Amino acid sequence: MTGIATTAGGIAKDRPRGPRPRRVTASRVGVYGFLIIAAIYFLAPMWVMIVTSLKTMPEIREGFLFNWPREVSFEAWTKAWSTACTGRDCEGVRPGFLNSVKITVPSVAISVVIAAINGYALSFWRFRGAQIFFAILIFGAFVPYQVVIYPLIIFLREIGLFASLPGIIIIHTIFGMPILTLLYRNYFAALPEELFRAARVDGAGFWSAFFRIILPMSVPITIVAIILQVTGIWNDFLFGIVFAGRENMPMTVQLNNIVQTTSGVREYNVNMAATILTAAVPLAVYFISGRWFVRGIAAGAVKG
Amino acid sequence: MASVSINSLDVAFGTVKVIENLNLDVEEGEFIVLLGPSGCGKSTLLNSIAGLLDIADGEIWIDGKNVTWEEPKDRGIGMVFQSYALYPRMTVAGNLSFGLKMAKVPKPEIAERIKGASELLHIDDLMHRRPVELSGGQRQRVAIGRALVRDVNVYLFDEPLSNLDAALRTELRVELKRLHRELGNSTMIYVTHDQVEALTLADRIAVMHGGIIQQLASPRTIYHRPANRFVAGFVGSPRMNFIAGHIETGSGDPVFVAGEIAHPLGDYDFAEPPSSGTAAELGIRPEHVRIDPDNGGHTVTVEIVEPMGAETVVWCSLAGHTIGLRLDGDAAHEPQDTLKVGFPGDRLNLFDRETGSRL
Repeated sequence: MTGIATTAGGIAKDRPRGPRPRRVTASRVGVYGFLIIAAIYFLAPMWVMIVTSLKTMPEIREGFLFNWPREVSFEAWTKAWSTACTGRDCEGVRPGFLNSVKITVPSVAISVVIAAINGYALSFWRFRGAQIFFAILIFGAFVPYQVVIYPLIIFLREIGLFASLPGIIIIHTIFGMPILTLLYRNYFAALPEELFRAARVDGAGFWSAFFRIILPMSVPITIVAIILQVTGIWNDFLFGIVFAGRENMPMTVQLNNIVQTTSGVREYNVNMAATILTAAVPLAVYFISGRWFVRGIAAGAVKG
Repeated sequence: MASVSINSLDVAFGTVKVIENLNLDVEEGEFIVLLGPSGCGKSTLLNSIAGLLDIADGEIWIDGKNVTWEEPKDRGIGMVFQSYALYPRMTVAGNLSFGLKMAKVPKPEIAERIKGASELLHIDDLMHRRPVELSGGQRQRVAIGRALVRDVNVYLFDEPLSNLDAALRTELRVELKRLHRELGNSTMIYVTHDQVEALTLADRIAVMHGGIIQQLASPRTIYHRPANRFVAGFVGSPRMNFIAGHIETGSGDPVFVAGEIAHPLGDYDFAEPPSSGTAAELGIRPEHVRIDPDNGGHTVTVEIVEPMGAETVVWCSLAGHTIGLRLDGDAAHEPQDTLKVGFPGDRLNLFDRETGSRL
């Protein structure tokens, strides 16, 4: 840019005119350098996983961790998906994938719907004791899971839902509630109160104001809530192993079983492929909706 | 029969009483403006009338019906908000029809009412737009339209023009006044902190301060005979000149004395005969101070001259007090000039310094 200004106009370089020239400064180089190093640091394991999953066992034993496979083979992937053994069952992670879907979809749907209603009631229909109710709910977010697991096992056993699909769904719904309610409440708190008042004057009640006015405005925050819940529930291991029961073991548990199985040779390529398969869903969710996620988080964080 | 009656209303936020024992009767077809600084309780009062706020005590009557415990939708009111409060995900038509759909009004009638309101407000070309696609003035028109389609007798306005720029504000102000006339006998209650809006629109103004109606009167009375020191100081720009002193009565006419200033009050219209020594404050509006080289009672020194085009405001000092004069646009005075000024007796305002009320 400086070049154009000086040659075209014939103006001396020391006289400032037009757009300020962009200079490469030391701090800028430092920032980019740091970002590149950070990116490499986080991408290196991913790279190792991908190339390892594409190698054959003899090549893995050679020990060149970062090398691209001499011969690309998808054998490990098929094995991880459908024939890898966990104990006596040799069905790969596929049943776990289906179980995770069966757990995640209803848990996400139920928890998001209830949290949206909670947040709406807390922001716009401030009932007596709403503040205390909210404080208790938020406190729930800070209780360590391990503390409540045993009481919850007894509770679910007593109502006959221990080690069942509805049981694990209830657990995920309960534990998603504090953070999701906070998310929705803060988002709604930032909406103009007058909007809700206008709806009241127009004759909208609790449900009609929610469904017709407030919910249509909640798309960004709902996407954030769904992303949070999908990744959280999909990645869950502890609740899955404790509450889901043998038939409903989620993918994470199954992955662990495959990786931990110690009979014979450790098949690193299969382990890597199974891990990538398990992580694929949250990863895909982030990639597809990353922009929405950032926007929604920002929108929800405006006011507290 | 009054259109809106408020009987001994109390509103409290927690333990703080914002409005206490407030009474107000609004006649049918009247345009009443609640005027006051922010925090004076005017919006609180309006929201109480709308039913959007829980009241602590008192009654609210609208059109001869006690609506104290009614839901906002059942009170027979329409409301326009400062931030327009249009439903962002609906078109203009959707915004206008929402309340009618909620009330299960038959479709042909909804269409008819929307048509009427949109033609009245000149928004019929905008029916399929979303609020984000409208300008500020158009949005407020739609918001007014949303109140109009409800086809009620009482309309409430909560600072509807204060989000608009100056030119649009003037334009919509005139339009609101026209609308009120065209609608015939619709009652309008209008909250604002803008005294120009209040003076131009109102049949009667209720000046509020500290949750209390300080004066309820016609704009003319509010401006020329303010009931107390607050009203006198709040209404008018540049504001009224005040000089603190006391009243002395002797054998002749009472005299207002403040230091070296002595002003005879022979032609002042006292509410009741003053007693000597009453601590008082003399008030006179800048446009009522008269330059009078021959009979001027006081000599002032010009300090600052503000030419504003149509008028010139001249700030002078009078025995340590600053006095504003509102003169013609072509008045030529320079700082340090001395002027002889007079205070016409029928333009004077005297306030008790203890109670603040008009003497």
